[in-house]
Amino acid sequence: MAESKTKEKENITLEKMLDNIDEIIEKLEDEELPLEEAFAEYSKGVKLIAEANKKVDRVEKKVQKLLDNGETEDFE
Amino acid sequence: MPQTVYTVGQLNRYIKNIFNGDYVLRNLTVKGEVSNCKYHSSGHIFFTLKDEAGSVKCIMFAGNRGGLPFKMTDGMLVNVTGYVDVYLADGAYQLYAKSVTKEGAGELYERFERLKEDLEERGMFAEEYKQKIPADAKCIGIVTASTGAAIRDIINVSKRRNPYIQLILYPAIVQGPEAAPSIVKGIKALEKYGVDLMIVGRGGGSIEDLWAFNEEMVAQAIFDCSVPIISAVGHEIDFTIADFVADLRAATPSAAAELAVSEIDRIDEAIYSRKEELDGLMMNHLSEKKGRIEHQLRQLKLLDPEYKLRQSKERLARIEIALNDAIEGIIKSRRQRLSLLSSRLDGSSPLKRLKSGYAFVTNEKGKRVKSVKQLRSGMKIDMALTDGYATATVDEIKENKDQV
Repeated sequence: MAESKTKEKENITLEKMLDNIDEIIEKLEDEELPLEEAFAEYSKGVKLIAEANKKVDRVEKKVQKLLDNGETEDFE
Repeated sequence: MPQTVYTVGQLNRYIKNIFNGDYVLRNLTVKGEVSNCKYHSSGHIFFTLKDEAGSVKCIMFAGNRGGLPFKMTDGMLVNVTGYVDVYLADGAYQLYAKSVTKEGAGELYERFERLKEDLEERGMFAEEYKQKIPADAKCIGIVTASTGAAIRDIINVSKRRNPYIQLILYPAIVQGPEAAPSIVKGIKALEKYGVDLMIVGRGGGSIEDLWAFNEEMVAQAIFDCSVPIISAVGHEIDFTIADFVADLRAATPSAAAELAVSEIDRIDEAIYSRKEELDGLMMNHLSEKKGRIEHQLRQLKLLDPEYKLRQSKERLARIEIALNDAIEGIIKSRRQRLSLLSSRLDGSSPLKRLKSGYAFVTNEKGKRVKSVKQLRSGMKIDMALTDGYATATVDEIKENKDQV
């Protein structure tokens, strides 16, 4: 159960993450939101931001060429 | 009977008339290979059309050049439409071209239209089957030739927008009879490999060059592919069947890369701006709550008994001061009045008069004597002087008559 949940998290796209953050922002825009809930939403949002940042790959990659045997090699 | 002798001119004119009267020769299309093609400075084009069996001279007048949408060169296979006529000066017949098309182009166009109609009827171009192009594709598959401008353009644009993007090229054959199966193989191989998005295309070329992208098997492969596909065939003006089936059509390979790869700066900005917004909103919540607490604290202070007592004490002290001031005022004014009265009293004191030699006369009963009428001879009276008393006896009484 826990395993499938983490897997789901990995599969969630950056776009979806940003959408989720937007939902949290919308909730926080309600000034009447009790402080406890605001805190809970905020920390959820901060966690998502960190995950989104992690999702953005910062490793430069060489263009690959796909071979007929299904393997790849550096192109050029 | 001697035979009639005609002049050359008569003969040629006679033949010309036969040609002109012929229904077929007045409007026909002839196919063949162009040779000896010359663009004359007058604007006319002279060329020869030939095939295995022979050749025919052709001319296209400058006025008909609108019927030739391309530059004709030797070796081209073309269809020439026009009429056949005789040139009287040398008695040779020629094909007078009104329009020239490349041989096969018409047939290809028809095939294109037929397939397009067919696929459209099968719903393969329908919006509902179009897959959304992901904004955050990390791994992009490319089906195109490994040489040429298309792959260069795609790599350059992609890397400029996001240097961290993973590009995987399937080096396909994009021209000739092997092209269609090669492109289909590429799409399937990249789908199996697992890319987020595909660009399928090639650079510009003639309709024959681009033909593989008009083949049904390529269209079917694009339609069946579970990965979203951006088509990028030729230039802006070229539309192929692949463009209609693809989830998104890009005008050129460069444009495809722009559609496929999100700019890394944009992604960073998208995340950063949300972080800012979250922080800002949380701060608002905190300061709003803080403000409310401060307000309530102030309210509470007003209700505090100690505060109230202090307030009362202060009020009491103020009242006390006011009271003191008031009393002092009263005392002061009374004192003033007293001294005023005493000085007035002082002025009207009988003792003062006594000092200047007057005496205060009373009868034996101590009653003040104001008139001689209260006196009788031999009566004892008391006289108060300034420094003592004296008792006297009245001897004589004289009344002032003029005094009333």
